[in-house]
Amino acid sequence: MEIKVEQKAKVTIITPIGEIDAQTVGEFTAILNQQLNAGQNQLIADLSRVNFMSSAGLRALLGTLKETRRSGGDFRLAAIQDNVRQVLDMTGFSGILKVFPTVDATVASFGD
Amino acid sequence: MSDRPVPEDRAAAITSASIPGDTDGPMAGSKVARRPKVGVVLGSGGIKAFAALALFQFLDENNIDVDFIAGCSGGALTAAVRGAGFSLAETRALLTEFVSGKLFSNLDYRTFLGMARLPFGRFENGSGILRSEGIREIYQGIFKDLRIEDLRPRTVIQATDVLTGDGVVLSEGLVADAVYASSAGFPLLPPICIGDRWLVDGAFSSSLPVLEAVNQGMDVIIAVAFRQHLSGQAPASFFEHVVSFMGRTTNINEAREMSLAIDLHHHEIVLIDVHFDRIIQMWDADAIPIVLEVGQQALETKKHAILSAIASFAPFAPRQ
Repeated sequence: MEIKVEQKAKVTIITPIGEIDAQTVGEFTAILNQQLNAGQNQLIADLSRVNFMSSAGLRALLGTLKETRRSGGDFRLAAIQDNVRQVLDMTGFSGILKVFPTVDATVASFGD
Repeated sequence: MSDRPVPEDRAAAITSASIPGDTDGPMAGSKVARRPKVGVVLGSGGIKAFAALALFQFLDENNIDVDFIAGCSGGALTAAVRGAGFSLAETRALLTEFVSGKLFSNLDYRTFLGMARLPFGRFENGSGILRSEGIREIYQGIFKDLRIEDLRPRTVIQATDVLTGDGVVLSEGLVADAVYASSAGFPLLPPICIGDRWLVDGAFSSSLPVLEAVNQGMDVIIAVAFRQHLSGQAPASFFEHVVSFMGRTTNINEAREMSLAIDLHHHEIVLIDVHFDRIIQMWDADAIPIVLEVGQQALETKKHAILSAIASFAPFAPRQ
Protein backbone atom coordinates (compact mmCIF):
# COMPACT_ATOMS: atom_id res chain seq x y z
CA MET A 1 0.00 0.00 0.00
CA GLU A 2 1.10 3.58 -0.48
CA ILE A 3 2.13 5.30 2.73
CA LYS A 4 3.32 8.90 2.93
CA VAL A 5 5.44 10.30 5.74
CA GLU A 6 5.72 13.98 6.57
CA GLN A 7 7.47 15.80 9.37
CA LYS A 8 6.04 18.88 11.02
CA ALA A 9 8.44 20.10 13.68
CA LYS A 10 8.56 17.27 16.22
CA VAL A 11 5.43 15.54 14.92
CA THR A 12 5.54 12.80 12.30
CA ILE A 13 2.45 12.34 10.13
CA ILE A 14 1.97 8.95 8.53
CA THR A 15 -0.68 8.80 5.81
CA PRO A 16 -1.63 5.31 4.64
CA ILE A 17 -3.80 5.08 1.55
CA GLY A 18 -6.30 2.28 1.07
CA GLU A 19 -7.17 -0.62 3.34
CA ILE A 20 -5.38 -1.77 6.45
CA ASP A 21 -5.92 -5.45 7.08
CA ALA A 22 -3.86 -8.57 7.62
CA GLN A 23 -2.48 -8.35 4.09
CA THR A 24 -1.30 -4.73 4.27
CA VAL A 25 -0.68 -4.18 7.97
CA GLY A 26 2.92 -5.34 7.68
CA GLU A 27 3.77 -2.40 5.44
CA PHE A 28 1.98 0.01 7.76
CA THR A 29 3.70 -1.38 10.82
CA ALA A 30 7.09 -1.24 9.11
CA ILE A 31 6.73 2.48 8.50
CA LEU A 32 5.56 3.09 12.06
CA ASN A 33 8.48 1.10 13.45
CA GLN A 34 10.90 3.03 11.25
CA GLN A 35 9.77 6.23 12.88
CA LEU A 36 9.93 4.76 16.36
CA ASN A 37 13.42 3.41 15.75
CA ALA A 38 14.48 6.84 14.52
CA GLY A 39 13.44 8.27 17.87
CA GLN A 40 10.18 9.81 16.76
CA ASN A 41 7.55 9.42 19.46
CA GLN A 42 4.94 12.03 18.51
CA LEU A 43 3.18 10.22 15.74
CA ILE A 44 -0.04 10.90 13.88
CA ALA A 45 -1.84 8.50 11.59
CA ASP A 46 -3.79 10.52 9.03
CA LEU A 47 -6.56 8.06 8.23
CA SER A 48 -8.49 10.31 5.86
CA ARG A 49 -7.62 7.98 2.99
CA VAL A 50 -8.18 4.70 4.81
CA ASN A 51 -11.54 3.25 3.87
CA PHE A 52 -11.27 -0.06 5.71
CA MET A 53 -9.53 -1.22 8.86
CA SER A 54 -9.56 -4.74 10.24
CA SER A 55 -8.65 -5.94 13.70
CA ALA A 56 -5.09 -6.46 12.45
CA GLY A 57 -4.96 -2.73 11.72
CA LEU A 58 -6.37 -1.90 15.12
CA ARG A 59 -3.74 -4.07 16.74
CA ALA A 60 -1.03 -2.16 14.88
CA LEU A 61 -2.46 1.10 16.19
CA LEU A 62 -2.45 -0.25 19.72
CA GLY A 63 1.12 -1.50 19.48
CA THR A 64 2.32 1.85 18.20
CA LEU A 65 0.44 3.64 20.96
CA LYS A 66 2.16 1.57 23.61
CA GLU A 67 5.59 2.17 22.13
CA THR A 68 5.19 5.93 21.82
CA ARG A 69 3.83 6.28 25.34
CA ARG A 70 6.65 4.15 26.70
CA SER A 71 9.06 6.84 25.55
CA GLY A 72 6.95 9.72 26.76
CA GLY A 73 5.22 10.49 23.49
CA ASP A 74 1.87 9.61 22.00
CA PHE A 75 0.20 8.28 18.89
CA ARG A 76 -2.97 10.00 17.71
CA LEU A 77 -5.40 9.63 14.86
CA ALA A 78 -6.64 12.25 12.44
CA ALA A 79 -9.58 12.55 10.06
CA ILE A 80 -10.97 9.06 10.30
CA GLN A 81 -13.76 8.04 7.96
CA ASP A 82 -17.20 7.19 9.36
CA ASN A 83 -16.98 3.44 8.93
CA VAL A 84 -13.57 3.33 10.58
CA ARG A 85 -14.89 5.49 13.41
CA GLN A 86 -17.73 3.03 13.88
CA VAL A 87 -15.22 0.21 14.27
CA LEU A 88 -13.20 2.23 16.78
CA ASP A 89 -16.37 2.86 18.78
CA MET A 90 -17.57 -0.77 18.71
CA THR A 91 -14.20 -2.08 19.83
CA GLY A 92 -13.55 0.46 22.55
CA PHE A 93 -10.56 1.90 20.71
CA SER A 94 -12.09 5.37 20.60
CA GLY A 95 -11.64 5.43 24.36
CA ILE A 96 -8.01 4.39 24.09
CA LEU A 97 -6.67 6.49 21.18
CA LYS A 98 -7.09 10.22 20.87
CA VAL A 99 -8.88 11.12 17.66
CA PHE A 100 -9.11 14.55 16.02
CA PRO A 101 -11.10 15.76 13.04
CA THR A 102 -8.17 17.16 11.05
CA VAL A 103 -4.44 16.69 10.75
CA ASP A 104 -3.82 20.28 11.81
CA ALA A 105 -5.91 19.81 14.95
CA THR A 106 -4.00 16.65 15.75
CA VAL A 107 -0.65 18.37 15.27
CA ALA A 108 -1.83 21.21 17.48
CA SER A 109 -2.86 18.75 20.19
CA PHE A 110 0.77 17.87 20.76
CA GLY A 111 1.43 21.46 21.77
CA ASP A 112 5.00 22.77 21.66
CA MET B 1 -13.50 -4.60 10.41
CA SER B 2 -15.15 -1.61 8.74
CA ASP B 3 -17.36 -2.27 5.73
CA ARG B 4 -15.91 -1.72 2.31
CA PRO B 5 -16.31 -2.76 -1.28
CA VAL B 6 -13.68 -5.24 -2.37
CA PRO B 7 -11.35 -3.98 -5.10
CA GLU B 8 -11.36 -6.20 -8.17
CA ASP B 9 -7.75 -7.29 -7.68
CA ARG B 10 -8.42 -8.14 -4.03
CA ALA B 11 -11.59 -10.05 -4.96
CA ALA B 12 -9.58 -12.09 -7.40
CA ALA B 13 -6.98 -12.78 -4.72
CA ILE B 14 -9.64 -13.93 -2.29
CA THR B 15 -11.32 -16.32 -4.67
CA SER B 16 -8.04 -17.70 -5.95
CA ALA B 17 -6.41 -18.21 -2.54
CA SER B 18 -6.67 -21.88 -1.72
CA ILE B 19 -5.19 -24.88 0.04
CA PRO B 20 -4.23 -28.14 -1.63
CA GLY B 21 -7.11 -30.55 -1.62
CA ASP B 22 -9.66 -27.87 -0.80
CA THR B 23 -11.22 -27.46 -4.19
CA ASP B 24 -14.34 -25.64 -3.09
CA GLY B 25 -13.51 -23.36 -0.19
CA PRO B 26 -11.89 -19.93 -0.16
CA MET B 27 -8.53 -21.52 0.56
CA ALA B 28 -8.54 -24.03 -2.35
CA GLY B 29 -5.08 -24.25 -3.94
CA SER B 30 -3.03 -21.89 -1.71
CA LYS B 31 0.41 -22.62 -0.42
CA VAL B 32 -0.66 -22.33 3.23
CA ALA B 33 0.23 -25.45 5.20
CA ARG B 34 -2.95 -25.50 7.22
CA ARG B 35 -6.23 -23.76 6.98
CA PRO B 36 -7.02 -21.20 9.69
CA LYS B 37 -8.93 -22.30 12.74
CA VAL B 38 -12.26 -20.51 12.61
CA GLY B 39 -14.18 -19.54 15.71
CA VAL B 40 -17.63 -18.02 15.92
CA VAL B 41 -18.76 -16.01 18.92
CA LEU B 42 -22.46 -15.31 19.36
CA GLY B 43 -23.39 -12.62 21.83
CA SER B 44 -26.37 -12.10 24.03
CA GLY B 45 -29.64 -10.76 22.68
CA GLY B 46 -32.52 -13.14 23.25
CA ILE B 47 -34.15 -14.27 20.02
CA LYS B 48 -32.21 -11.59 18.12
CA ALA B 49 -29.27 -13.99 18.26
CA PHE B 50 -30.99 -16.15 15.67
CA ALA B 51 -30.01 -13.46 13.19
CA ALA B 52 -26.77 -15.47 13.11
CA LEU B 53 -28.48 -18.14 11.02
CA ALA B 54 -27.53 -16.09 7.95
CA LEU B 55 -23.87 -16.37 8.95
CA PHE B 56 -24.08 -20.14 9.32
CA GLN B 57 -25.76 -20.44 5.96
CA PHE B 58 -22.99 -18.36 4.38
CA LEU B 59 -20.28 -20.45 6.01
CA ASP B 60 -21.94 -23.66 4.84
CA GLU B 61 -22.33 -22.37 1.29
CA ASN B 62 -18.64 -21.44 1.19
CA ASN B 63 -17.47 -24.72 2.74
CA ILE B 64 -15.90 -22.88 5.65
CA ASP B 65 -15.45 -25.24 8.57
CA VAL B 66 -16.06 -23.81 12.03
CA ASP B 67 -13.80 -25.22 14.72
CA PHE B 68 -15.22 -23.56 17.79
CA ILE B 69 -18.31 -21.68 18.92
CA ALA B 70 -18.74 -19.62 22.06
CA GLY B 71 -22.25 -18.50 22.87
CA CYS B 72 -23.81 -16.28 25.49
CA SER B 73 -27.48 -16.13 26.42
CA GLY B 74 -29.47 -16.00 23.16
CA GLY B 75 -26.21 -16.70 21.38
CA ALA B 76 -25.78 -19.83 23.50
CA LEU B 77 -29.18 -21.12 22.42
CA THR B 78 -28.37 -20.40 18.78
CA ALA B 79 -24.98 -22.09 19.14
CA ALA B 80 -26.51 -25.12 20.85
CA VAL B 81 -29.19 -25.53 18.21
CA ARG B 82 -26.48 -25.39 15.55
CA GLY B 83 -24.23 -27.78 17.44
CA ALA B 84 -27.07 -30.22 17.99
CA GLY B 85 -27.39 -30.58 14.24
CA PHE B 86 -30.68 -28.84 13.58
CA SER B 87 -30.91 -27.66 10.01
CA LEU B 88 -31.67 -24.04 9.22
CA ALA B 89 -35.22 -24.97 8.32
CA GLU B 90 -35.65 -26.97 11.53
CA THR B 91 -34.28 -24.07 13.53
CA ARG B 92 -36.79 -21.67 12.01
CA ALA B 93 -39.54 -24.15 12.85
CA LEU B 94 -38.32 -24.37 16.45
CA LEU B 95 -38.47 -20.61 16.82
CA THR B 96 -41.98 -20.44 15.49
CA GLU B 97 -43.15 -23.26 17.73
CA PHE B 98 -41.53 -22.33 21.02
CA VAL B 99 -41.20 -18.58 21.24
CA SER B 100 -44.13 -17.39 23.28
CA GLY B 101 -44.97 -14.78 25.88
CA LYS B 102 -46.56 -17.49 28.00
CA LEU B 103 -43.09 -18.68 28.97
CA PHE B 104 -42.49 -15.38 30.76
CA SER B 105 -45.77 -14.95 32.55
CA ASN B 106 -45.55 -17.49 35.35
CA LEU B 107 -44.82 -15.42 38.45
CA ASP B 108 -43.19 -16.96 41.48
CA TYR B 109 -45.47 -15.60 44.19
CA ARG B 110 -43.33 -17.00 46.95
CA THR B 111 -40.54 -14.73 45.81
CA PHE B 112 -42.84 -11.72 46.04
CA LEU B 113 -44.01 -12.82 49.47
CA GLY B 114 -40.40 -13.25 50.44
CA MET B 115 -39.58 -9.73 49.27
CA ALA B 116 -42.24 -8.41 51.58
CA ARG B 117 -41.13 -10.79 54.29
CA LEU B 118 -44.60 -12.23 54.48
CA PRO B 119 -45.51 -15.76 55.56
CA PHE B 120 -44.87 -18.45 52.94
CA GLY B 121 -42.47 -16.13 51.24
CA ARG B 122 -39.00 -17.30 50.46
CA PHE B 123 -35.64 -16.07 49.44
CA GLU B 124 -33.02 -18.56 48.41
CA ASN B 125 -30.31 -18.90 45.81
CA GLY B 126 -32.78 -20.33 43.33
CA SER B 127 -35.35 -17.55 43.64
CA GLY B 128 -36.51 -15.42 40.77
CA ILE B 129 -39.45 -13.22 39.87
CA LEU B 130 -40.69 -15.81 37.39
CA ARG B 131 -40.85 -19.54 37.61
CA SER B 132 -38.55 -21.28 35.20
CA GLU B 133 -40.22 -24.66 34.75
CA GLY B 134 -41.87 -23.81 31.43
CA ILE B 135 -38.68 -22.48 29.85
CA ARG B 136 -36.59 -25.35 31.13
CA GLU B 137 -39.10 -27.87 29.78
CA ILE B 138 -38.79 -26.26 26.36
CA TYR B 139 -35.00 -26.61 26.42
CA GLN B 140 -35.23 -30.17 27.68
CA GLY B 141 -37.69 -30.96 24.91
CA ILE B 142 -35.32 -29.57 22.28
CA PHE B 143 -32.03 -30.91 23.56
CA LYS B 144 -33.16 -33.92 25.63
CA ASP B 145 -30.05 -35.57 27.18
CA LEU B 146 -27.58 -33.96 24.77
CA ARG B 147 -24.36 -32.87 26.44
CA ILE B 148 -22.22 -29.85 25.59
CA GLU B 149 -19.25 -32.07 24.83
CA ASP B 150 -21.35 -33.77 22.12
CA LEU B 151 -22.03 -30.56 20.23
CA ARG B 152 -20.23 -30.12 16.93
CA PRO B 153 -18.26 -28.04 16.41
CA ARG B 154 -16.81 -27.77 19.90
CA THR B 155 -19.01 -25.34 21.79
CA VAL B 156 -18.77 -23.52 25.09
CA ILE B 157 -21.51 -21.61 26.83
CA GLN B 158 -20.97 -18.49 28.93
CA ALA B 159 -22.75 -18.16 32.27
CA THR B 160 -22.22 -16.12 35.43
CA ASP B 161 -21.93 -17.29 39.02
CA VAL B 162 -24.61 -15.30 40.81
CA LEU B 163 -22.80 -15.53 44.16
CA THR B 164 -19.33 -14.44 43.02
CA GLY B 165 -19.96 -12.58 39.76
CA ASP B 166 -17.34 -14.71 38.05
CA GLY B 167 -17.76 -15.71 34.46
CA VAL B 168 -18.20 -19.45 34.07
CA VAL B 169 -17.47 -21.10 30.73
CA LEU B 170 -19.45 -24.32 30.49
CA SER B 171 -17.80 -26.93 28.30
CA GLU B 172 -19.53 -30.03 29.62
CA GLY B 173 -22.85 -31.04 31.07
CA LEU B 174 -26.41 -31.03 29.86
CA VAL B 175 -27.05 -28.59 27.04
CA ALA B 176 -30.57 -27.83 28.27
CA ASP B 177 -29.28 -26.77 31.68
CA ALA B 178 -26.37 -24.77 30.26
CA VAL B 179 -28.52 -22.89 27.77
CA TYR B 180 -30.99 -22.05 30.51
CA ALA B 181 -28.18 -20.86 32.78
CA SER B 182 -26.64 -18.71 30.08
CA SER B 183 -29.94 -16.98 29.34
CA ALA B 184 -31.37 -16.79 32.86
CA GLY B 185 -31.86 -13.05 33.10
CA PHE B 186 -31.68 -12.65 36.85
CA PRO B 187 -33.68 -11.54 38.83
CA LEU B 188 -36.47 -12.05 36.31
CA LEU B 189 -35.47 -15.70 35.90
CA PRO B 190 -34.07 -17.73 38.79
CA PRO B 191 -30.54 -19.11 38.86
CA ILE B 192 -29.92 -22.78 38.20
CA CYS B 193 -27.54 -24.92 40.21
CA ILE B 194 -24.98 -26.70 38.01
CA GLY B 195 -22.33 -28.54 39.91
CA ASP B 196 -21.88 -26.48 43.03
CA ARG B 197 -22.54 -23.10 41.45
CA TRP B 198 -25.67 -21.05 41.03
CA LEU B 199 -25.57 -19.73 37.49
CA VAL B 200 -27.34 -16.96 35.64
CA ASP B 201 -27.12 -15.03 32.39
CA GLY B 202 -23.63 -15.02 30.91
CA ALA B 203 -24.17 -11.44 29.78
CA PHE B 204 -23.44 -10.30 33.32
CA SER B 205 -19.83 -11.45 32.94
CA SER B 206 -19.14 -11.54 29.19
CA SER B 207 -21.95 -10.80 26.78
CA LEU B 208 -19.71 -11.38 23.75
CA PRO B 209 -17.05 -13.89 24.90
CA VAL B 210 -14.46 -13.12 22.23
CA LEU B 211 -11.60 -13.67 24.67
CA GLU B 212 -12.64 -17.30 24.97
CA ALA B 213 -12.14 -17.75 21.23
CA VAL B 214 -8.77 -16.00 21.47
CA ASN B 215 -7.76 -18.26 24.34
CA GLN B 216 -8.74 -21.30 22.31
CA GLY B 217 -6.29 -20.27 19.61
CA MET B 218 -8.75 -19.45 16.86
CA ASP B 219 -7.05 -17.76 13.89
CA VAL B 220 -10.14 -16.16 12.40
CA ILE B 221 -12.82 -15.14 14.84
CA ILE B 222 -16.24 -14.03 13.67
CA ALA B 223 -17.92 -12.23 16.54
CA VAL B 224 -21.60 -11.43 16.15
CA ALA B 225 -23.10 -8.78 18.43
CA PHE B 226 -26.84 -8.19 18.52
CA ARG B 227 -27.69 -4.65 19.49
CA GLN B 228 -30.69 -2.43 19.81
CA HIS B 229 -30.25 1.21 18.87
CA LEU B 230 -33.14 3.35 19.94
CA SER B 231 -31.67 6.78 19.30
CA GLY B 232 -33.93 9.41 20.74
CA GLN B 233 -36.82 7.09 21.45
CA ALA B 234 -38.26 7.23 24.93
CA PRO B 235 -38.92 3.79 26.42
CA ALA B 236 -42.55 2.81 26.27
CA SER B 237 -42.52 1.04 29.62
CA PHE B 238 -40.44 0.52 32.73
CA PHE B 239 -39.35 -2.85 31.39
CA GLU B 240 -38.15 -1.31 28.12
CA HIS B 241 -36.32 1.32 30.17
CA VAL B 242 -34.48 -1.40 32.07
CA VAL B 243 -33.76 -3.39 28.91
CA SER B 244 -32.41 -0.29 27.14
CA PHE B 245 -30.13 0.54 30.06
CA MET B 246 -28.82 -3.01 30.24
CA GLY B 247 -28.24 -2.95 26.49
CA ARG B 248 -26.16 0.22 26.68
CA THR B 249 -23.99 -1.05 29.51
CA THR B 250 -23.59 -4.36 27.72
CA ASN B 251 -22.34 -2.54 24.61
CA ILE B 252 -19.74 -0.71 26.67
CA ASN B 253 -18.51 -3.88 28.33
CA GLU B 254 -18.38 -5.68 25.00
CA ALA B 255 -16.22 -2.91 23.57
CA ARG B 256 -13.80 -3.26 26.47
CA GLU B 257 -13.49 -7.00 25.98
CA MET B 258 -13.08 -6.52 22.23
CA SER B 259 -10.16 -4.14 22.63
CA LEU B 260 -8.36 -6.60 24.89
CA ALA B 261 -9.16 -9.48 22.56
CA ILE B 262 -7.77 -7.57 19.57
CA ASP B 263 -4.60 -6.80 21.48
CA LEU B 264 -4.09 -10.44 22.40
CA HIS B 265 -5.09 -11.94 19.06
CA HIS B 266 -2.73 -12.76 16.21
CA HIS B 267 -4.78 -12.54 13.02
CA GLU B 268 -8.29 -11.25 12.32
CA ILE B 269 -11.42 -10.77 14.36
CA VAL B 270 -14.37 -9.88 12.17
CA LEU B 271 -17.05 -8.11 14.18
CA ILE B 272 -20.56 -8.27 12.79
CA ASP B 273 -22.81 -5.70 14.38
CA VAL B 274 -26.40 -6.84 13.89
CA HIS B 275 -28.29 -3.69 14.54
CA PHE B 276 -31.98 -3.59 15.40
CA ASP B 277 -33.81 -0.29 15.46
CA ARG B 278 -36.58 -1.54 17.69
CA ILE B 279 -36.76 -3.48 20.92
CA ILE B 280 -37.35 -7.17 20.30
CA GLN B 281 -38.35 -9.02 23.42
CA MET B 282 -37.51 -12.63 24.10
CA TRP B 283 -41.12 -13.57 23.44
CA ASP B 284 -41.74 -11.56 20.22
CA ALA B 285 -42.51 -14.48 17.91
CA ASP B 286 -43.89 -12.03 15.34
CA ALA B 287 -40.44 -10.44 15.08
CA ILE B 288 -38.70 -13.62 13.90
CA PRO B 289 -38.91 -12.72 10.19
CA ILE B 290 -37.40 -9.32 10.99
CA VAL B 291 -34.65 -10.97 13.01
CA LEU B 292 -33.71 -13.22 10.12
CA GLU B 293 -33.82 -10.39 7.59
CA VAL B 294 -31.69 -8.04 9.69
CA GLY B 295 -29.18 -10.82 10.18
CA GLN B 296 -28.90 -11.30 6.44
CA GLN B 297 -28.43 -7.57 5.87
CA ALA B 298 -25.68 -7.35 8.46
CA LEU B 299 -23.89 -10.33 6.99
CA GLU B 300 -23.89 -8.84 3.47
CA THR B 301 -21.53 -6.08 4.66
CA LYS B 302 -19.05 -8.55 6.13
CA LYS B 303 -18.86 -11.39 3.65
CA HIS B 304 -15.72 -10.11 1.98
CA ALA B 305 -14.06 -9.35 5.31
CA ILE B 306 -14.68 -12.95 6.39
CA LEU B 307 -13.36 -14.42 3.15
CA SER B 308 -10.39 -12.06 3.18
CA ALA B 309 -9.51 -12.95 6.77
CA ILE B 310 -9.50 -16.64 5.87
CA ALA B 311 -7.62 -16.19 2.60
CA SER B 312 -4.96 -13.96 4.16
CA PHE B 313 -4.08 -16.37 6.94
CA ALA B 314 -0.52 -17.65 6.98
CA PRO B 315 0.60 -19.78 9.94
CA PHE B 316 3.54 -18.40 11.89
CA ALA B 317 6.75 -19.82 10.53
CA PRO B 318 8.75 -21.67 13.21
CA ARG B 319 12.01 -20.00 14.23
CA GLN B 320 15.09 -21.52 12.64
